[in-house]
Amino acid sequence: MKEGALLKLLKSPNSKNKGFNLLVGLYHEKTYWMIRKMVLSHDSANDVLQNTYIRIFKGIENFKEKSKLSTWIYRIAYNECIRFLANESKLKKVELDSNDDNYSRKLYADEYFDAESLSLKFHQILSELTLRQRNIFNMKYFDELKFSEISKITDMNINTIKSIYYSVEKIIKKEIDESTL
Amino acid sequence: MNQHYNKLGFKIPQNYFKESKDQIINSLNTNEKNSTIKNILSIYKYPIAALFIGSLILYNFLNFKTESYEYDQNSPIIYSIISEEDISEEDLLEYFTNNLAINEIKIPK
Repeated sequence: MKEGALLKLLKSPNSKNKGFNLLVGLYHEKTYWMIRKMVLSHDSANDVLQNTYIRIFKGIENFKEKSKLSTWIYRIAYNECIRFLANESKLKKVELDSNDDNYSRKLYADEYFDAESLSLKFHQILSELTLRQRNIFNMKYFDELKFSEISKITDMNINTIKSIYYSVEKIIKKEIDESTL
Repeated sequence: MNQHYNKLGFKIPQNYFKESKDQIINSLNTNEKNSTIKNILSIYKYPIAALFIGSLILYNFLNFKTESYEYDQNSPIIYSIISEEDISEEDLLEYFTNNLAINEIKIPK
């Protein structure tokens, strides 16, 4: 279904529920994975996913169509993750430029984590990154979002995002190469 | 999502996406019902409050009784005040005899 037709359904009171059903079907899986990489545990990701779609449902009338619908959805999900992480760490604001000391603890505490050797190595590298670096890397590498989309989601300059991504990519390549030698 | 995704080792419960979609839709329906009730309440809360206060005032108004005192017109004291006439001893005696003394005296059978 084209985005325009979906939006038409969403913005009409009579077809809003039908439109929303379609929207959830189209985007919730990708939204979940984006959230999961940020909050790490499945249960937390599930909670954040629900809150995200409640916000989307309430705010769809305010969507100004300045970006793609998917970008707008991921931006809401991203903000919801930041809010969740702030609540979790009992801070008013999440420090994006520091790394998460509880990364490994959260990962191992989750029953839905399969600790294989390669994923462990990968997570070890990711845990050493700052939250900002990790988010940008995940969005580009795993979610395959464009730099322009990441810029809109994170509200950051596109050139800053590019430079962060390429520096992280370099770090990861180096670490993996060293570990396979 | 690309093929490297499984490198992260994240797993999900069986049929998770099917169930989570239903869960999201259900939670939205509940949320919508709650917000509809809230909206109705927010629209009508002032008229309801005004009606409640109005009915309280009306109830109190209908049941409001001005205190009235009924005076014994036969009492010489009252009579003298109303008529502005002097009270005589005879009148007093007659009054007390009729109204007080008779009630107090117990006549043995």
